[in-house]
Parts: sequence; C-alpha cells; structure tokens
Amino acid sequence: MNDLRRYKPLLPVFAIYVILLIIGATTPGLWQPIMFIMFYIGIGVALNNFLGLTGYVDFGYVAFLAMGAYGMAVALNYFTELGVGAIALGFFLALLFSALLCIAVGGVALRLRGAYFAIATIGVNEGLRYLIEGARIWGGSEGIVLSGKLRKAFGPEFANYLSTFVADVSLIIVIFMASIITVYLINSKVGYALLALREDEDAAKVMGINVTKYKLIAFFTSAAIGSLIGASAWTLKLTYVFPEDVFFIHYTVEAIVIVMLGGAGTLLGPVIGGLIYGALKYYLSVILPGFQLLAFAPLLVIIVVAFPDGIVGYIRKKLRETSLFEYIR
Amino acid sequence: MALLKLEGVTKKFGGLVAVDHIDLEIDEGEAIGIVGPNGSGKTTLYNLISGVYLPDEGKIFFEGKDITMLPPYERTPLGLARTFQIPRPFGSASVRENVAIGAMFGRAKADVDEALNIADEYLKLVGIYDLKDKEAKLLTPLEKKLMELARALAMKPKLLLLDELMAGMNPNDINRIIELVKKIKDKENIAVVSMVEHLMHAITKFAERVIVMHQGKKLIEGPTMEVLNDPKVIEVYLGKKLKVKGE
Repeated sequence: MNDLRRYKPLLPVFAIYVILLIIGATTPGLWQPIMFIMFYIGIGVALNNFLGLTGYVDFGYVAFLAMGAYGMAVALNYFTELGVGAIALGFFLALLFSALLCIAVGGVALRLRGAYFAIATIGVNEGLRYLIEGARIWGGSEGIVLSGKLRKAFGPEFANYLSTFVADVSLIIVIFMASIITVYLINSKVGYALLALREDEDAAKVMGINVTKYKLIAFFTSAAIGSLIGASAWTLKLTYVFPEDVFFIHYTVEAIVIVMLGGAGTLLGPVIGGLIYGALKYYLSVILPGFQLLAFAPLLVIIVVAFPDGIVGYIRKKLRETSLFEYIR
Repeated sequence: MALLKLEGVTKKFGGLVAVDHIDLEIDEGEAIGIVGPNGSGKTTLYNLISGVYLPDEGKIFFEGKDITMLPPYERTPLGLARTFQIPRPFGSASVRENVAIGAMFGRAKADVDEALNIADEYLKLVGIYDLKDKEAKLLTPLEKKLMELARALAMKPKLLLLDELMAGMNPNDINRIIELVKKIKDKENIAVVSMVEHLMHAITKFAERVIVMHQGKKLIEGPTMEVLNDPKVIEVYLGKKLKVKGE
C-alpha cells in the first residue's frame, strides 16, 4: 500500500484548490480574482515540472503557452464547422504545437548546461514571435480574433458560455491534472533520475542515468501542461490571440518567481508561490495602482533571502521527522 | 574471458599524455590494487573505464563487448560501479534516496520500492543505517565515503572501482572497510579495483595483484608483495639511490 501513501502530499494541494474555488464560487465578485490566482498557480505548477525538477532555467517558457494559445485559436478559427469538436481539436493542436517546439528546442538546447541553456532559450521565444509576425503566419501581428466567428458558429449564448465557463473549468482541470502529474513524476524512477541530475549531472551519468532522456521527459511534460493553460486561460477565455501578448517574456519571469518563492522541485511550492504572487499582484494593483511592481520587488527580495529553498522548502526542513512531513512535498 | 580488458588505451590532455598505452586485464572476482604517485594517471584511467572520458587511442572491452565509445550511462547498467575520490553525494536527497538511486539505475535496475529496500540493506551493511533520513550534504566526509560505497554496492556491479576510498580514514575504519569489501566481494563475486596513492598497508591487506602506474604508463604488475618490494617501485616513490663519489 506504499503506492497510495505516496499520493498523500496531494491532500494539502487539493485542499487549497478546493477552498479557493469554494470562496470564488460563493463570494460575489471574487470568482475572477480567484481565476487570476489560479492562472498563476497553474503556470507555477507547469514550469515547476521542468525548472523545479531539473534545475534548468527556461527563459523561453512562455512560448509553450503561446503555442497552446495558437493551437486552440487555429482550431477555432479554421475548423469552426467541427462545432464543439473544434475545442477538442484545439487542445490536441495545443499539445501538438508545443511538442513540436519541444523537439526543436529540447533536442538541441537541452544538451547545453546551466546558464548556456538559459541564454539559448531567451532567443527561442523572441525568435518565434518575430517569425510569426514577420512571416505573417496565423494572422501575423494582427493575431487571431475569434469573438465574431464564435458567435456566428455557436450562437452568442454558447460563445459567451465558452469564454466564461468552459475556459475556467478547463483551466481548473488542467491544474488538478498538473499536480497529479508532478506527484507521479516525483515518486517514480523519473523523479529520482531528475533529483540526481539536478544535484550533480556528471555523477548522475556515472550512476547510469541517461540525463538527456530524463530532461526531455520533464521538458515535454512541462510544455504540454503550459500549452493547455495557454489554450484555456488565454484563447478560450479572451477569444483573441496577439503575438505580443502571448510571447510576453514577463510571464516567464513571473512563473520563475512563483516557483522560486514557493520552493523549486516541491509539489506544494508553486501552489503556495502562485497563491501569494497572484493575490499580492491583484490586491497591490487595487491598493497601489501603478506601484505594484515597486512594492513587489523588496517583498520578493526579503522572501528570497529569508527562504532560499522557497517557503515549502523551509517548512519541509522544519517538519522533518514529524508525522506531517509526508504530507508536504 | 576477462571481465574488463584495456588494449593500448591512451588519453591526452593537450601535450600531456595522462594515460599512455595501457593494457590491462581484470578477471571476475579479482581484488586488484592500483598504486602510483600523484599525477601518474590513476584517476584518468578510472574516468576512461567509467566513460567520463573517451580514449584517444585503444579499445576497452567489458565481458568481451566493445564499450570504448559508450557513454557512462550505458556502461553502468552492464555492471560497472565506482566511487569518487572526493565524494559526490546528491546533496539535497536523503542518504537512503542516494543509495536507492544507485540500485535503480545500476545493474540492479530495481524499481522504486525494491531500490529503497536494497538501500536499507546496504546502509545496514556499511553501518550508516541510522543516518538514512539525513540530507546527504550534512554527512561527515567519512560518512559520505561510506554512503558512496553503499551506493556503488547497491548497483550490484560486477566490477567496482574504488577511488582512494580509504584515504583520510583512521586505521580502525580502514580495517573495517577492508573486511567489509572483502566479504561482499566474495559473496557476490565482484571484481574490486582499489586505487591508492599512499596507503600501502591497506593495499597489502586487500589486493591479490597490484599494478603500479608512473607517468601514465604501467610500470609493473604482479602479486602484491613482490611488486611493492620491487626496486623500481621504491624508486618511483622515494627517488634513486644517491651514488656518493668515491664510494
């Protein structure tokens, strides 16, 4: 019964999700802020599957969300006659586009170490954006605007239902799935291989670990989750895709901050990180409009100095050898 | 058929020939010592065998299979394991997880549960089972070495390469480790190569055969006591006998 025990760390994570969603659903006016926070939790959990588990920093991460957003937009724009099937096709294309980008980036860049990898990935994101704009792929810099088409194809009511209800629900499902995938990875041989290569890549190789293979597994997983988030939280919800929005490097930086803040490589870390970051960002922009970044920076510095292993890393250390330890990962 | 066979293996770093046309054969279950002063090419030889470096010349065979160009992670599952001169624990993982990783990806190829059980078994064997839940980076240097030994053994190797395992240990620990390695070696028929720079008495207790390296070449090879008393070996370590004029 060892197997079930390993999934215990999901309890606090799911508890947080459920509590957030209940608050959002029952308190008038809080649903949108909660979904705003859920989005940040989502990109944290998604990036953590790569950054947290391998220790490699991918500055081009948002490109995978962009691929997902475009996958869904292409399906809804060019295959509207499929009806609801177009949404399923959209999720499929999201996964397909991000997987193709994974092969292109991962096969080459993942052979690079540490900082070299980070530098290589910055180029990918910007390069891809200018390719789409310059070569006028998928509408070029004008992007894809879906609202009119959706209303014509599905009727105004269903189109509205898509962007208000379906988009949120699919984001929530993706986030639940992403946490299950993380816990599965951590507990499997893949997780141990990633742990070893994160600590000492050369020693890991001598231990018999094919490091490139395991880095690719983490890269694909993380990209796939990211693309599903892009497809639901951006395309379905906003009903438009503009290259300068979806390739905005700011999102990558935010995701990195969330992972580091919560605790890289832990299951609960990006959830806590996303919760704090999302909530602070939202309320700071209400309380101190325009000053939220200024207020944020010192706060982040303090947290990173006080908790170098992230908040959850710190808690885990304190809980070692207590019965709560196995619930926090 | 030899378990491990090196034919004319050479590795150069720029103008320096670190390992110079080494031929070597190791049979199943043998206990071998490799000795040589600092810079004689011992560690480079280990790195060539484990695949960290690829040789510039020569061939390496494991159980008759040519592994010369295989990456380290494809050699290890065949039955190779090693420790490092300066221990390389996976720092933030627990001691138990460190050893389990060896069992998962070495020749043992255990699944996660099996590997954790194997880890417990070998941690008890080397005597650090009490530390199993500690973060590996918090261990003392000696404990780290014992953990590396457990990790290497948990891989269930056919050939175990020990890199200065006993350096810095007190005589009691050295004796205990030698007895332990001998016992496991005989039980599981592992060939063990132990590399040392200065701990000659440890080698005499352990090795059946000794290879002395000097400036990347194999200086001499043979039964332990014979080799260690050879004038050439004494010369390598202590220098030539001075001829005083008029003597």
